[in-house]
Amino acid sequence: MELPEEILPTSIQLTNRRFYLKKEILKDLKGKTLGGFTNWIKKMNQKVKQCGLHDFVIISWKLTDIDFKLMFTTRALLLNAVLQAMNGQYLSIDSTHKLVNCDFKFTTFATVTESQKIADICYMLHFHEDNEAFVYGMKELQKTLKENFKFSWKPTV
Amino acid sequence: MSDFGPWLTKAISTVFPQASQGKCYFHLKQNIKKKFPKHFPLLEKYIEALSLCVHEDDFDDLWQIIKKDIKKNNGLKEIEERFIPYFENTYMAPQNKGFYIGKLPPGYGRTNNCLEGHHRYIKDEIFQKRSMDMGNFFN
Repeated sequence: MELPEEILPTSIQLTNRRFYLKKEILKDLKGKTLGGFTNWIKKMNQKVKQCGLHDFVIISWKLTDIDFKLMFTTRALLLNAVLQAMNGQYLSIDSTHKLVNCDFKFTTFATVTESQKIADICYMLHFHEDNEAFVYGMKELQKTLKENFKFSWKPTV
Repeated sequence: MSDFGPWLTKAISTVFPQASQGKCYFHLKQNIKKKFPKHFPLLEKYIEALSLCVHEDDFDDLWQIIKKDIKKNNGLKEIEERFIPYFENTYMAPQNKGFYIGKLPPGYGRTNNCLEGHHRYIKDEIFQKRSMDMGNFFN
């Protein structure tokens, strides 16, 4: 299946995406109190359908006294994931560590094409790496794909 | 497809119980290399052969042949005593067996390296290889 050209990010959009990840989402979280944090989330919480194709959008978050999870993506990534999943439904997940010297993790959910290229779906920042975190991530992603693309996402592999 | 992280393995089974879980062959090799550096050149050949099996029966049969091969060679006592129990408990467990090609989608490769590369990019380029405390991280 051919991917519509507009969902593939240009190099400028990719640069913007990286800039946004570092300077906006991560920096904005610095020093937030609980109230400040929830206000920030509300401000950031656009509907997926209302965003531009390559704008970051928070699709889900959870903050408790001992835990923190934040999932974000772009509409283009979700759309790409749906199209890729129709071909293969091959989900790949990896967490990276050591970005910071505390229990902070960065997880990427992606589909992988036959040519071994990744097609990211979304990212999750989380403090704990446990069963609950990954179940949360996959279920929220499933829900988002269903709500926005009416896509029932059931990877077989 | 994922590495052998136990929480990830469990979570995928919970959310997608029908899914067959592929496990990254590269991670497997790295783990074995770290744990058994002295014998890795030989162990790598065994693991490579296992990873190329198409059917689970062949995979299980080959493992039995490998074990016999190790046991009949007196020079491999250390492998027999340490490697065999470790490998059986870890990588022959049903949830971790998915590193042979019969368990992976046809034509998609055997590793999670593309995502690893993606994360390496984030570490190297975005965070410039620094492991920071929270304060610096958000600055």
